[in-house]
Amino acid sequence: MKKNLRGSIGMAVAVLGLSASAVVPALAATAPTYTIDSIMVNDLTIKAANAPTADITMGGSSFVSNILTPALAHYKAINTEKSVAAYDGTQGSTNGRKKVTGAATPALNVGFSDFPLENSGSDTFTYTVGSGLASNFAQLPVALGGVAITYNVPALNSSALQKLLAKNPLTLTGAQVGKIFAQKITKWNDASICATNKTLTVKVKVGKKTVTQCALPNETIHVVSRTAGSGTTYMFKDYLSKVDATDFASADSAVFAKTTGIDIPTVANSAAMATQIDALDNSIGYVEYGFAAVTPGVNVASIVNASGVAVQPNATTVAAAAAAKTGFAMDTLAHRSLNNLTGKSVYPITGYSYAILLKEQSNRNNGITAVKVLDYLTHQGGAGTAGRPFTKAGTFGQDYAAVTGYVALPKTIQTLARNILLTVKDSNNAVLLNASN
Amino acid sequence: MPMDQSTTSTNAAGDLSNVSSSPKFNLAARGDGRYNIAMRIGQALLAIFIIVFFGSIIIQSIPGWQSAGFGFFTSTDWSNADFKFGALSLIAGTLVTTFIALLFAVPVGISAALSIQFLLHRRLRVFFSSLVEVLAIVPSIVFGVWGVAVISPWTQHTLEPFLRDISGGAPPFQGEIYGIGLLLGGLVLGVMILPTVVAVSRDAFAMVPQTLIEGAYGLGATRTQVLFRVALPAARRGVLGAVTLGTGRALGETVAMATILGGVTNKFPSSAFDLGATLASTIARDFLEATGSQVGALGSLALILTVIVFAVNYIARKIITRQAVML
Repeated sequence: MKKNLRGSIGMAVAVLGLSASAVVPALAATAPTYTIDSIMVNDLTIKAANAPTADITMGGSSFVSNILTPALAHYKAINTEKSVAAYDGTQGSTNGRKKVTGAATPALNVGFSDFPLENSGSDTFTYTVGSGLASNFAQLPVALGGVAITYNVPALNSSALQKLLAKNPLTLTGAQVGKIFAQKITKWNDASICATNKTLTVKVKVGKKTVTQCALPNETIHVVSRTAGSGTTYMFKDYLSKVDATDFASADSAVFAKTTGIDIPTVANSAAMATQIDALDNSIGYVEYGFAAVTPGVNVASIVNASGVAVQPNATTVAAAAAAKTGFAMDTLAHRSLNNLTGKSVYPITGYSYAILLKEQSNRNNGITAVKVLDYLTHQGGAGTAGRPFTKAGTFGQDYAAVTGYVALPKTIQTLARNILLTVKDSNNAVLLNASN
Repeated sequence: MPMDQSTTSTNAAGDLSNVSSSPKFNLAARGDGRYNIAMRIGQALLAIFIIVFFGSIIIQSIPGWQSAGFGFFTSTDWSNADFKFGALSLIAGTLVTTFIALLFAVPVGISAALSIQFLLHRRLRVFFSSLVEVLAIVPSIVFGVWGVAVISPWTQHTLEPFLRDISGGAPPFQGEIYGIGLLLGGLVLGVMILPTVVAVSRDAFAMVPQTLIEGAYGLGATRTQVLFRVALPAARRGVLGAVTLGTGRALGETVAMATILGGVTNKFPSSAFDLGATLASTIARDFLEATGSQVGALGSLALILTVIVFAVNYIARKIITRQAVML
């Protein structure tokens, strides 16, 4: 009898177990991709006890301003305490770097730059905690985007040519992009550009004959550069150094230097670049692709990648670049760079933008706010329990990526960002990002 | 008389022994003393501020002079990133854009002031003068973006090709057309200084004695003759002051010029179509990047700009004061 009872109970447990295992995968299939963990479960809003006396400040890279502006506004809106001020992306990455390194009390609580601080280099740091510059700062990827090569060639604006371009966008090889920005290719109808764009043709009458010829005009290419210190320039030149090493030896953020009689206008930020390309005929420039998408009159060229395929910058191709990267680490440019990676759908000019903040936060509440905002910025929303602001709203910083022209950080990078944030401490060496704060 | 003088001086010194024993008088005398001390402190603070301001700019600029030497004024190659400090192209850019601005703003501004003061009905006068003054409160960056996004396609497609064609490509209308650049910068600056020119020259026209105007009409002068042969000459110093004040504003304009000129700092302008930069726009653009002697070089630019702007404003004040005394 006992045996029978045990057997029955055993059977019942087994049946229950089987049913449960059948149900759980079904639930999992509909569950969101991100799970709220032990830190977020206590919610990422600012508590009264940890609120800063004034909104903390974030600024720098204009590359990331399209995603950070709405994301920070959302964070501020769902907080009842003081939290974070509007993002200031008017002056570029150098502004972000300098304003966190230039004074013992940084002018910005968190700076953003498209290239992180190194232990050696041109950055200055007015006081030293430990050795080296970068060792004083926590630096983490916050946004993933692509650098679009934008152009404005009025001769291509006819409806017939626009139809052709809709099928086959204007395509440039990496070498051509390098030569254009080095002013070694100076005309739009350069033989090599026409050869790359064989389908882009017009029929013209020469005498009695009708001949088909390259639709690109015999017009001077006006290169537009960002002002010195631009992180987008740094990301772009890192790419150029891989595809045109003769003209661009290494990555730097200096302006593109004039090598012919044609002047190179310089613009202060990404938005100004998009405006300038739109205003200047036969111009070419480079900007985070979200900016190009929202500016009418600015066209985006396809770039031939390392696998020989012409690709446009978009969410799929930029994500493909991030996925193709192996061994990402923060320590060196070679480990960080996503440029010119192999893969058919990889967009070749892609990179992360980084947040920079002091590892030792002398003002504890400012520090707590900074790490909470950054944790929010570097994750995607999803699962959660009703009643917690973020989980209820379901929106984290990376959820803004797709709608603003970026790609959400890969899961491995989200984890990396979390681990880096866990190194930020107060003056008593206490970790600021934890469940009780 | 000598006795009066000694009494006055005693009072001013606050010595109460020789004056009336009235409490009211005592209070006034004490108040005078305090007022004098407050005034002296105010003056001293102002003097200290001015000395500190100029002193700090001069000290800041010393490394710049040391590293560039006389080449600062003779070289046209400015590249802060490469430690090349030749300010000639920037000084030229500043003067050229200001000159173009004046070519536009002086005739337009003076005509506007004349018509507002003499030709419009009183109610319309208030409306139009406040309309012009609205331009003065538009932020500089708005002018910059307006210049690049709205006006530069027009200069690129219409104005600059027209000028090049009509002049046959002769200087200063030769070379590559960009739309943005010195000509557009000058025109936008002209619009920006228009409110200053209009407001100050209108004040000068308002000070022209009515008897002069009426006398001229009485002698049978036409309206045009009254405006250009009587009112304008009578107010010429005030108008000159208006133009000089406008010039001061144009020389120091920063954000709009940083947006419109194209930021080319290593080329002495040879054409109105050229890209360029001004002293002020270069300081604004390079400052965030600068460290060490680069900051010093920017300090030198600041000193040059300050001297030019102060000189222009000083001349303007002198001219306006003389006009007021004459009338």
